[in-house]
Amino acid sequence: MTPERFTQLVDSYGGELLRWPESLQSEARDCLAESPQLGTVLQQGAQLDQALEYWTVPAFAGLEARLLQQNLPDRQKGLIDRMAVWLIPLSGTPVSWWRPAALACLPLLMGLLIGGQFELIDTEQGLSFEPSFEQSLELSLEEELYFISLSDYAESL
Amino acid sequence: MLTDEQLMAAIVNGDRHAYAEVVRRHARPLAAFAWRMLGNESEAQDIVQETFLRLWMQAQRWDSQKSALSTWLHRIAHNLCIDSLRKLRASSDDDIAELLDDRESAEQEVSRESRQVQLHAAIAALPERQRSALILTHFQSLSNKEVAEILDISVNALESLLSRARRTLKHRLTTTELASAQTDPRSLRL
Repeated sequence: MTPERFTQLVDSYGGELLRWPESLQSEARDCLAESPQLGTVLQQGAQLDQALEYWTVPAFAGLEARLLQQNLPDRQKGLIDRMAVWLIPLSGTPVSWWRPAALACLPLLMGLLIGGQFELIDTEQGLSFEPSFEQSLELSLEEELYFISLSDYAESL
Repeated sequence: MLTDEQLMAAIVNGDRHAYAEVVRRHARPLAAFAWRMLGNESEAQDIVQETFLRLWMQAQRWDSQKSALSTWLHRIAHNLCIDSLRKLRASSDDDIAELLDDRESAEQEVSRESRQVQLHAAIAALPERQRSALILTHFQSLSNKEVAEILDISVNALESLLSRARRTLKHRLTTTELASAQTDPRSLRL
């Protein structure tokens, strides 16, 4: 550190080395040891620091109570916000990488589920998806009643 | 003891105990900062209240990787102080320094208090950014990088602001001290 830089730093940070950025303090002490005349510069800077010590703050009576008693709005988040926080946790909480992966898999699972309800049928017009065989055998309540009534009629004959 | 990161994560989930703990840790330094910026205790408390309300509502916006919680809160409080000072200036032709000068003349009898008022007036008369730089660096125990981040400037620019602020302040205080010394030689300090 040059004496010029030392003087600039006194102008900026004052005459108390402990108030200077930590990264500069050691260099400043070395510089001061090499150039003792800089001690005068430091003393002049310290005069303003001493004057600033007179600037004391009020007691701020009841400050915490006021802040704790203020009416805080509800922090209940919307569904999208909650989903976003669940997927990408906020700083300070452990990151769960499996969550976005699980979400990305959801469309695939849905596709498999829906696809399982259909089967590929080769028709004259080409390939087409039709509801699977088991599903086509299922009868609605109305259809079942219709067949039961036919059966009763046949027996009475 | 929970870290600021853990407390903020809890606040995001609406934990009021975590909020109370953050208030206990950070409210007083912020109030001191706001008071030094505005020179009025009631307004300073309003600023702190608004700062913590924003913390409660926007906790998810704080990124611990980017800045310490204290730096983030000081940045919010600083912006609110600047807004408040501009409103004050717009609503009145009187400069804040003049208001403080009035107080000064009323309190001249008490030496220490008078010195404090002189100091307050001299700092209040500094340009906004110089004042912010000086208060944040000298009184708030923040590093030069943190102050540069709050003011959104480089460290070199911060050093330049500080240098000008200290030079002006020293000149003003010396002038005031010399004026006081004409009536009371014991008051000469700079």
